Amino acid sequence: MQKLSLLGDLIDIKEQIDLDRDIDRATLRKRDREIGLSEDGKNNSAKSKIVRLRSWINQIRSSTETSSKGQKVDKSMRSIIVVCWLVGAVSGYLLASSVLAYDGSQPVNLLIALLVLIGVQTLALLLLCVLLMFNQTKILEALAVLNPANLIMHLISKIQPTWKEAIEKYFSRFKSSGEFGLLPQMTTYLAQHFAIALNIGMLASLFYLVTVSDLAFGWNTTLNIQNETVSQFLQGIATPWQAVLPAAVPDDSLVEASRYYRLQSKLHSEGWEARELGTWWLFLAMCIVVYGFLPRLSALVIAGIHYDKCVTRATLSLTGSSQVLARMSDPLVSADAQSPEVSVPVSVTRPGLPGRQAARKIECVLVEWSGCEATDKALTKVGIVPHSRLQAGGRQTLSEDKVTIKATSQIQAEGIAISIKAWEPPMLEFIDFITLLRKSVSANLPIIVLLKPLPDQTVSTTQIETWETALGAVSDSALYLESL
Amino acid sequence: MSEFELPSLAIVGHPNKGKSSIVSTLSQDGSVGISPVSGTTVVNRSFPMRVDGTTLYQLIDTPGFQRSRSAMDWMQQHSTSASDHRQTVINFVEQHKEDPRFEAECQLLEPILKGAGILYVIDGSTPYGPEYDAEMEILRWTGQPSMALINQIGEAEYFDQWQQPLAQYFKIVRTFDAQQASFERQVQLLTGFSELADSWRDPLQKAASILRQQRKNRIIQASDSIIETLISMSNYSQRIPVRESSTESEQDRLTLQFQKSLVAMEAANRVEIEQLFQHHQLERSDTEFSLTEDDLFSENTWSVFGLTRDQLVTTGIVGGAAGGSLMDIGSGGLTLFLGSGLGALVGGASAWFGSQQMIKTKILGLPLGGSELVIGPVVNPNFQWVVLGRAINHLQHICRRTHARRDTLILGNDELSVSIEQATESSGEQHFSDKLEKDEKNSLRSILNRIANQKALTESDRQKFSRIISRQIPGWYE
Repeated sequence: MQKLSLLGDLIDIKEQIDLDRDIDRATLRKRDREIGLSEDGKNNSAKSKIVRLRSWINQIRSSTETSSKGQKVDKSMRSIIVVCWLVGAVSGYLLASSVLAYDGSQPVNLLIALLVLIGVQTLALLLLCVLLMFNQTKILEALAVLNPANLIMHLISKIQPTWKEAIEKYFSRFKSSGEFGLLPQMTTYLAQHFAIALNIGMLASLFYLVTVSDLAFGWNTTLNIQNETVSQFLQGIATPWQAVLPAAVPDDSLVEASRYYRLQSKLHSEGWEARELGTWWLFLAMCIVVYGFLPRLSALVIAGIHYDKCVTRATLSLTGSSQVLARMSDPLVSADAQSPEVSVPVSVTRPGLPGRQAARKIECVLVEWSGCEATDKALTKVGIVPHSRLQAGGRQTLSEDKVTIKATSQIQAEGIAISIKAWEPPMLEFIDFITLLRKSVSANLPIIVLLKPLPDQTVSTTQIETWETALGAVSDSALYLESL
Repeated sequence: MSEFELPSLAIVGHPNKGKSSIVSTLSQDGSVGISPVSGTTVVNRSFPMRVDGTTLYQLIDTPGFQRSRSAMDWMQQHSTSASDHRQTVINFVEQHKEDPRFEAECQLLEPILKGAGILYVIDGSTPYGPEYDAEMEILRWTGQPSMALINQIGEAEYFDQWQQPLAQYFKIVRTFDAQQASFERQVQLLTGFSELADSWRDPLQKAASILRQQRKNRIIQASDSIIETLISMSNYSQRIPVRESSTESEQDRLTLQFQKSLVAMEAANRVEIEQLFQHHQLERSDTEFSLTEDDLFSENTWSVFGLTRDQLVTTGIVGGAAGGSLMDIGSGGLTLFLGSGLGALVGGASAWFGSQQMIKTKILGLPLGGSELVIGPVVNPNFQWVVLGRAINHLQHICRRTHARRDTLILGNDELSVSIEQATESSGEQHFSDKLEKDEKNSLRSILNRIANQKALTESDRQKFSRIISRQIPGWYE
């Protein structure tokens, strides 16, 4: 896949960051770290950051078949530049043709030609420099309506929806916040393309007219200005090329000879050939090159650098770009489980233990599980009169538990109560004990599990529910659960 | 390298005593099932710490003992002397691995017999009981290095009662609160595992160092995210085209929509930070701030060619001045810039007075401009302070919160309508700005003013801001 411009990458980076919001973090970390590990740049400079971000988007883009928005925007940008060049060149040609129009009746007014072809654009360039120097992007935005590149951009947006979307969606933030002035910087950059083409068009027109027609230049003014003054002024203008191209520097006699008065309908100085008045064209051409073309060429380079910096800043300031860089540079650390959790489904609808009529006192054998003692007072409260006390669980061996079960079955009592620690979870070992116990006694003999709370506490709802769930699974209609 | 040549620790114990909580906290994995109902974990789960694919250590969450006395009984019957204890345990697992009765015991013993160290977890808030003896004895029989960890749930009032029995079976006994442990405490526990085997020291130290760096990076990223959100919220405005038939209720609707958008931005930031710290399952209860009309900038504005009135007037002034300057140049400067001045005046005035007419002008049926209602940005001077305070408060909670917690995160309430001091009093928490040094507070004030005035932050401002936020986080170190 071809490499895109910085702007194209900015658009795609933003698009990708937006798309990434729907991807889970672990996948993103893995993907970006892999890209990061294939990268060399590890320092923290802005240049390194932008290189890494561009490499990131390049690698992601290379895995997709469809053309990205960045590519489309790049294509639009190239179209805009081409249109700027075409319109600029045609405008320059037409402008120069109209200014240099000469039918032989009057010479071409040199001062007007200088003013229109050089003066206006020089003033515009100076204004641009001042505005940029003082970072007056808001005025630049306001003046955008006068910028031909801006008009071309908006015309292109009518036929290329992606470009329109880019202007509205991607540049709006930078435009409205005044933070980066991306749009003014872009129009300024494009305007330089237009201006260079304009100057080339003007030069082409001049060369064409000089080649195929006999141009004659003159100057006139109503003001009482001496020829010497005008001569000094024009020679001052010609200073940059005085040494290398003296033929393009007007001398005093040419200036004097070129002055004309329309009423006289002929040149002020006699003895000059009309052919020689055409020698001004070289001066005019050099003026266009030195004061039009070359400054605009420099302006294009400078505006290009500013524009690139601006796009770079905008890219680095994108919400999410620092996260991308962090994901690329931070080691991929994971400490979570490598397999999904397998849990025993906990029955929500507990079978439920039948309620015992606690109001009626019953005499029970009390089994203290794992040393869980129950006082007579606590037992009386739940209507249990202990007949005898036995031990099971805890430090008892399984054989001793069996002895306890046997003893329990031999005692004639109305039921069996087992005191147990409410704070401990129901263990399968205890369930085994209950099951064995039931086998050794009548199926109707009540077995009452008594939950004993921690000192100074009551049995919590969670504890009751936990035990209900565990004991409910035994499916014993004479098994009860009560709290002490 | 086999998985058990690396530091491996099997987290074992009685059911429902916080084994999974400890694993959840140390692995920063909030998805571990933690339930008051025992037996939630039925098979071993491995939690390897991997750095760019390289495993540094692993924790193994195991099911709790269910029939330890029965297992011990079998082992005692099959052991002839102390020298064959380990082999007896191996034989037990071999013989019972298909026996559903001893599924839990076989599961938890398997990694230990393969070489994992033992982290035996008990709950310090409940008393010691003889039912623990059998399981501790089985673990001793395995002969693997072991450590007991008293999970300090609540007051841990039975801590002393546990010391003696644990000391009989384990050389090292530590305490740890899986629900409340600070990040540094978690790292200390991790590095403390190296006491079990000398060869574990280097990988565990490396893991600790990486975890600290990861923590630091996360805090920096969270700070950056807060700054981004604050800037977006401060710059945010909404606009709708105004028709002649537009009513006041449309303005109310837009105000409500504006507030919802701000709330959504803040909520998105919360989620982003929670995801960053791997609190994926977190439930949060947060009070939304409310805005009144006084808090908002709102105006009826209009545009022509997409230009506001100010921009249009500027364009008129500059265009007029440029036209006039041609006259000045034409006169050789004799007009003393009168042309430029007059041109600017005429251009500006035409734009100002002609603009209303231009709005209504239609070309090919399309209007040149139109009026629109603009709501926002928020102009209340407390806004940035309150939003930042709320974000820092959330970040502090997230950084303090272990992954073992399953309760809802409840955040405080800040209102714009009251001062910062009153707002923080109402939330019951001290505002972060009260703890700042004077210089730091001044820097922050200047940065927040820039944001409020929608001016761009320099890189240095951003770094300073990020550092101020990071320093509010418990356990932050430069």
